[in-house]
Amino acid sequence: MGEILSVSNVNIAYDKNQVYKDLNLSIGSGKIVGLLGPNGSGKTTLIKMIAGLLKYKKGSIKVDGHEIGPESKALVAYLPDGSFLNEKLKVKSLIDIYSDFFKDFDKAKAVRIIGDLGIDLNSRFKALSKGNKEKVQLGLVMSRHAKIYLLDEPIGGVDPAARDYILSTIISNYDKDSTIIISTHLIQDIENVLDEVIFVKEGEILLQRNADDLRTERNQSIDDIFREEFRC
Amino acid sequence: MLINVIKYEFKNRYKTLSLMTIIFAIFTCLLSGAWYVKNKTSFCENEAVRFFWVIFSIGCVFVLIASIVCMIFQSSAGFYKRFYRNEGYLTNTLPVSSLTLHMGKFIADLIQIAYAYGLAVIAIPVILQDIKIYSKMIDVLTIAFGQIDNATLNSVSDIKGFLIIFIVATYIQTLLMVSNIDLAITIGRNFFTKNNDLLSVVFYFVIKAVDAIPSSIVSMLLAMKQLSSDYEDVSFGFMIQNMIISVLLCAAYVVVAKILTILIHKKRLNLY
Repeated sequence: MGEILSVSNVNIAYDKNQVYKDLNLSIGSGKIVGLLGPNGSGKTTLIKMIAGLLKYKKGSIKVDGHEIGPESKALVAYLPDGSFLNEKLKVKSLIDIYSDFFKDFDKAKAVRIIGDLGIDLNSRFKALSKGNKEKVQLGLVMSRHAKIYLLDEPIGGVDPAARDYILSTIISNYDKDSTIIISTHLIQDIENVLDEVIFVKEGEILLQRNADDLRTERNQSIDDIFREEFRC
Repeated sequence: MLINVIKYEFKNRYKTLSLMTIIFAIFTCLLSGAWYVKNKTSFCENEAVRFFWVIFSIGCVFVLIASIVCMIFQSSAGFYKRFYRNEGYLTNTLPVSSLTLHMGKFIADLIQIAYAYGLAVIAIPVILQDIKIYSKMIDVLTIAFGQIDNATLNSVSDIKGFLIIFIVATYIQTLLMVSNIDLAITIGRNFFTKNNDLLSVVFYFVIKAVDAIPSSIVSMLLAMKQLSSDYEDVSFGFMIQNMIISVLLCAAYVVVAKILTILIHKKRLNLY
């Protein structure tokens, strides 16, 4: 599998606090990658830089060979941690927006995923429950045939049943040649689906390994290894 | 993609625009109806009714003006939400350049402001129960300008020209206000991580002050030129000339504000 994402010598700071200094990272295609770390470790910052929402000071980030810009954004499907859609719009209008902008968006798939939830396409987004809003957002993102899916805390703040739904939607809808980067600290729930794990601590990559190799080598689950590495 | 961005802008604005239009229509009808009742009946002879009538009229006019202001400010409020609040996570990850995003927003603004003023232009004669209001306005202005300037004001077409320039100047001024607010928001949100909304407000006034410097210099130079010439020339023509220069300056400011907004958005986007 070829390299889909490369991060070279990236530096970024908030005010005077350096978040990443000379960050280097490479991720291949066709993998589900867990971006794991405690709160404030820099997971969201990294995801936002790849999505093009944060400009870094130095270095370079390339998605399938494209620097961050309109070309890379066409290849990246991003699900932020929280609501990001206009609440006043109807669900079908939101589907139309995705269809207008993303050539890789599968409208029929979106209608099917959202329809399966029993959500009326004519209902306004703000009228949906918190759980259904998150599911609609996930449905829109996963209806793209993107090269990279960036999912920022997709299972944070939802009940266990919703977590199962979210994970099964992710697993059953992504292209096998694509890469999924999932940021979370709820490792137990996702560790079985991960191909690769990246541990992030205070703006540094502590380790990047194949999930099975790591489990075999340490004879522990990823969750246990995480707890050990990040013990307070 | 520009068409899609314009569509996206209007999808996000249409509800507020429709609501404002309905409010505008209802209050225009109410006010014009009230005028009709007042003029055709002796209903207003009672003191209490007259007092109510005055309050009602002021209220209706206030609502109409507020509707126009809301329609205009909705553009900047929408910009803030769509670019720098939670909806920014979608807007800024769309596969389009900063230039296209901002051009789409700018074109939507042009249409929206024209629409707001168009509604006002239609509503005025309806409210005043007089569809000939504009020709009467021209008569009034002809007399007014004729008194201050016998030398250069020759025809009604001069007054029409004045009215057109006045409308264009107001339109460009409004566009400049929206562009300056957008620029201030862009500076506040992208350069600072703390108190960025407050700093956006501060920067709006800084931008206004910066805008005022060249305008003041040009006005001063024009005034000096006028003072050095014959008194007879301080005239209608001078006023028109001043307005045209003001329109051109405002248009230049709009372009500069837009370029700065796009550059900062492109180079410093900071949706932390």
